Amino acid sequence: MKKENKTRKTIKLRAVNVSVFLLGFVLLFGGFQSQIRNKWNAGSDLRPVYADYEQQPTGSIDVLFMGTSEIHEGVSPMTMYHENGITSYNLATSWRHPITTYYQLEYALKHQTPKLVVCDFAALFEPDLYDALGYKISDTMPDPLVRLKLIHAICEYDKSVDPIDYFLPMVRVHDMWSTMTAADIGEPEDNKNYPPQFRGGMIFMREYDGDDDFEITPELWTPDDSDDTIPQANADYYDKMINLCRSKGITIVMLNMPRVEDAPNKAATWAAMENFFTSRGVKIYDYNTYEAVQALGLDLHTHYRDETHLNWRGAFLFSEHFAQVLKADYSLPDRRGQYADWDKTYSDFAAYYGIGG
Amino acid sequence: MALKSFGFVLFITLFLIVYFLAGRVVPQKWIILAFSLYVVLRATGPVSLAVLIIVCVMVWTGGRIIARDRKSDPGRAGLWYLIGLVFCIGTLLYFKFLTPVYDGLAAIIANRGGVSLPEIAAPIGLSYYALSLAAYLTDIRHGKHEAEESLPDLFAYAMYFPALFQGPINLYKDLMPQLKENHSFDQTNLIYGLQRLLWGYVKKAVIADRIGILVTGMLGDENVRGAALFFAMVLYSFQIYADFSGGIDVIMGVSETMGITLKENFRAPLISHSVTEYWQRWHMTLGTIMEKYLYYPIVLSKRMRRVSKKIKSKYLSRVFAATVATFIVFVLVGIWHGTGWNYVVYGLYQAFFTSTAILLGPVYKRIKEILHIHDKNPVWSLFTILRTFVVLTFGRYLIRVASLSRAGALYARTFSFAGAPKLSVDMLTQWLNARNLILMLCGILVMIAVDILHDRGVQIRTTILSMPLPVRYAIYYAAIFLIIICGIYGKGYDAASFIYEQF
Repeated sequence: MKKENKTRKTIKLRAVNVSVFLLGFVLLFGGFQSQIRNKWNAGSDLRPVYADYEQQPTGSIDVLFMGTSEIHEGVSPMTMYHENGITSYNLATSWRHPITTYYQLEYALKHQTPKLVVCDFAALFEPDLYDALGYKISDTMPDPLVRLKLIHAICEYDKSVDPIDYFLPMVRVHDMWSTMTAADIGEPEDNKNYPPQFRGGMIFMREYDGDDDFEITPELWTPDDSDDTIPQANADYYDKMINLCRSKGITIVMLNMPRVEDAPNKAATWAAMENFFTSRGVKIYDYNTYEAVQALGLDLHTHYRDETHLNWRGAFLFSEHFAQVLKADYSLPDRRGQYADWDKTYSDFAAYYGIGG
Repeated sequence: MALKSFGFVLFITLFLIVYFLAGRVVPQKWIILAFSLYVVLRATGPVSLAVLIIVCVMVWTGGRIIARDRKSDPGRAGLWYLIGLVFCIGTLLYFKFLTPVYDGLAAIIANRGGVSLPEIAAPIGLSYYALSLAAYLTDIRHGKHEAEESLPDLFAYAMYFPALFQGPINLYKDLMPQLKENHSFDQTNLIYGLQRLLWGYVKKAVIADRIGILVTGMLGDENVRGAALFFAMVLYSFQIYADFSGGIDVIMGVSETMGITLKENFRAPLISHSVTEYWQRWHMTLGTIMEKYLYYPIVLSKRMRRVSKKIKSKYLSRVFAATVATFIVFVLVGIWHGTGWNYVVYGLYQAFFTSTAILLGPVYKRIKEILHIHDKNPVWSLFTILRTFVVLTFGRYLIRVASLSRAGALYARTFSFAGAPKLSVDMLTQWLNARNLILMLCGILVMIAVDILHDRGVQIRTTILSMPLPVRYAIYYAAIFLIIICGIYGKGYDAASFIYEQF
């Protein structure tokens, strides 16, 4: 009897020891993982943006912006609201791939049913799904089911991907521990500098720091020898985006931002892009032409932070113009005064940028 | 499924759960066999599994006939011994040397519109179990033990999956009794086993593969010459040791958790005082096979004794047999590692130094007496360790590359001093940044320190187990996170398999 009791005590003690060890490991692992995973090398953290997005009352967003950094930094929902009463949300992100954009859209449309989705097609010809982009979209995805589907899609697209890297971000550290600095731990710098509650996007107050010899001239849009073959997987995901929107009665349009850097590439691939979208009945708003840039009054050194991205002046100018276009084309309602929170947020926005309220 | 992969870790976890739970109702050797079959199938496919099964069946049959007819019909026993050897060693020789013949034949048949012959990959672990089975047959022939009655038991022994990856080479008398027993769960075995497994992964994923990045970079850069190139080969010596011994630690750790003790394969070889001592400390199970089944039979053979007697010099007649046997053994050791002439020369290189030590033994002894050099003198000891390390490093040029001509080119680069860039941290940071270099250096020093402690009888694992619980856990966490955070694995690096998995 004594021996039995002793055995039971020993087993209990072992079970406690093992449990303590495993618990300690899980806590350490989770703790490290929650801090270190932020190094995506692909821009800001989307989590505060998604948290703010989910707080928006259902039905309050009329326009949803998706896509890449040109929209991420070039479209200001607050400007569109203040000038034209359009309530929009900017879920575009730096870097892009149709797979990540599609699953972001799928997530977004679970919470809102906007009248219009505006997306860019910069990713249409993009062959590579950069690990950092995949990690960022996956790590920050609040919806676990959408996250699972995204990871599965990425692994199907790129057979060399190890799903462990997506489910356990901690194991990615082996690839980067030796280059990490204090800035890589904790909240990303961009998040600290830009509040997420300005309805997504990230409008930088930065002056132009691109190539001083770069000039916007009509000759810039001379086509180069870029390949205009649309990878089938990319085409499939754009089709999925179009079909998803239409299944919910949402109009989807394509926006080509005034990204002057790759104007020759755009010129070379324009026919293929135009054919792709017009054959699917998708309207294209093309601002990547010399005439459009001139009509908008965009000046490289005043309105751009580099040859690809607008700065805050350029974003405000473009957003104001584009809001008028959308309002006219789609009879979007004027929501000014309808949501007190939007007015309050605009006041903060105006104070942040030092503009009139 | 590589030894260094999440898949293997999951596989072992599942195996241990089944091994101890189902092991209460099913003999554990069947569980080992089932998982072994899976490993072979997964690693090299059904045709390779069929080859392995055929070899085992022939060895089993041969073993039983040899045991039965050893005394009553030695001719028949001898014939079946040869047949058995042909199947196990012959299969090894075929996959080492003759696969181009099969591939050529397959191409001819395919080109003439015939049937496509199946691709036959070398069965995983062939280099290891071929020798195990050959030793098994030889021991039966010499009456050391009886033949295995049960064919499935022999399968379980030959296909013991932890050893399929890179050894050790297990003798029947050592492993089979343990396989026939059922082992209940033992916490101490589990802890010791997991400790060893962790240490193995640290050596492989943190130390060996990190060194490998630098070595590959330096050897691949034609500008790296002279002392810098030799430095790269010094690092390669550490890499190959960390890689091989790390893999063995993982295998031993897995076996230990199962309650199975395998023979050690390494005993601090990097602190050997001579080439002879090195081969007594490096890949010891291969050494045992070579010594027991080749070296001593050659030395003690009637033919060798007859030849030795004809030598006039008394001393030379004593050492002649040992010298010849040494050359034969080391040439075969070289060939076991690979098929090119560089491996043959590697074997000859090792044989040269080992034989020289035999032949000139009395001369060395006399010189040390005259110079009052004592083997235990620390300065002399350090000198002999460094001397041996340098000699062995020069030998490793021959197995680092794929051919003799490439080895020649490496030697030439090493002795090309004119205009050779100086070895510097700047040079090394082309391939590994400063943090990685520091980690690599620390890893090498820790690895050597652990070996020295073990060699002096310090049982590190027992010492860890005697520490307070929080300290023990801190050590385990440190090792685990070192592997996770600093390990070389995944998409960012080449999935560098264990070097000795290729043999």
